[in-house]
Amino acid sequence: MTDSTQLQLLADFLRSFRPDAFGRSEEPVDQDVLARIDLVCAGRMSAAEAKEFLAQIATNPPAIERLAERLKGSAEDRGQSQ
Amino acid sequence: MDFKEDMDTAQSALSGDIAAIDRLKTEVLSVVLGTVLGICGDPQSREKAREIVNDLLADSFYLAGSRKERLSLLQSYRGNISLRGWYSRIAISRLKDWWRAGNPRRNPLNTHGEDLADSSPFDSLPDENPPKIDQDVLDLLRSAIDHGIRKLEPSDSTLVQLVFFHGVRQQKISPLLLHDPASTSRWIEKALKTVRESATEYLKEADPEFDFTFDDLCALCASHLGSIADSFKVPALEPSTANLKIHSPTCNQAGSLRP
Repeated sequence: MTDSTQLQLLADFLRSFRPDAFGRSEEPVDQDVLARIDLVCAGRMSAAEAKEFLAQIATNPPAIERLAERLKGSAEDRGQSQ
Repeated sequence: MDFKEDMDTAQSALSGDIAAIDRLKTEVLSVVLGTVLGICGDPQSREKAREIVNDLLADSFYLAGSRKERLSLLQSYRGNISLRGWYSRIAISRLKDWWRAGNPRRNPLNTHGEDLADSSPFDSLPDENPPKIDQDVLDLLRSAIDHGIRKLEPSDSTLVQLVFFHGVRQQKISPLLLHDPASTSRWIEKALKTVRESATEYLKEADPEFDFTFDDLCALCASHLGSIADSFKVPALEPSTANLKIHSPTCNQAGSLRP
């Protein structure tokens, strides 16, 4: 079992009790955070800046949700363009 | 937490109450067996697990020890934990002693469908419903994993949440930290190490007598997911664990977590 599979197993286990574990929020996201999500997704942050930003939103489920949507959305966009 | 009802069941059973003894068998020990089977990956271990759980019932009433202090197993129950949790700890401890004595043990997460032709581990159970894992044990595991994930560095916690809770593909997070795919793999390895160490530490602190490792924890998580997928037809597990081959007590013939 790979490390990744093991972590996914633990995540699935937690979500089997609480589907909203670590995220899924409809709350609004601060405009400044949204702007920084744009920057990090566009690759316009240094590694240090990106790490600091990711640390800052670690306990901000709406921001993580929005970042996840952006990351997944950009993959879909690329898939459509191919 | 108050376990007065469990204490009453124990005392009634000790006084010879047939209904209470029956409850021990059907409501307590059947769940204990499900819990213990969750960490067994081979037929010999499962057979031993059945034997251990059967022995628990006998030992519950058999007076052991010196003449001055002859106590049956059940007489040593103090009601500070659920009966299921108490028996589960004893059974797992006995099974581990058996493994430590040199008997073979196969990790239930790595069987890849072997031995699936073996008879059902629940053949000896009194009813047809597959027993579930003890809720106290599940709660303990859940708290340990939650604790482990919260011990991650904040930026790593965000990445874990993105990938494993929100389904972002791993290659999509590489650019976030200007990582190449190899370093993403190393990051996951590091994150799992932190979760593993913190969860194990939590388990030891929460219950020092509970002889339980991180691998046991993962095996029971898989067993639990297999159980709920089989019992309630849960429609969607994430792809990586949905295809996981396990030899769970309740997994289907294909050994898949999916129903």
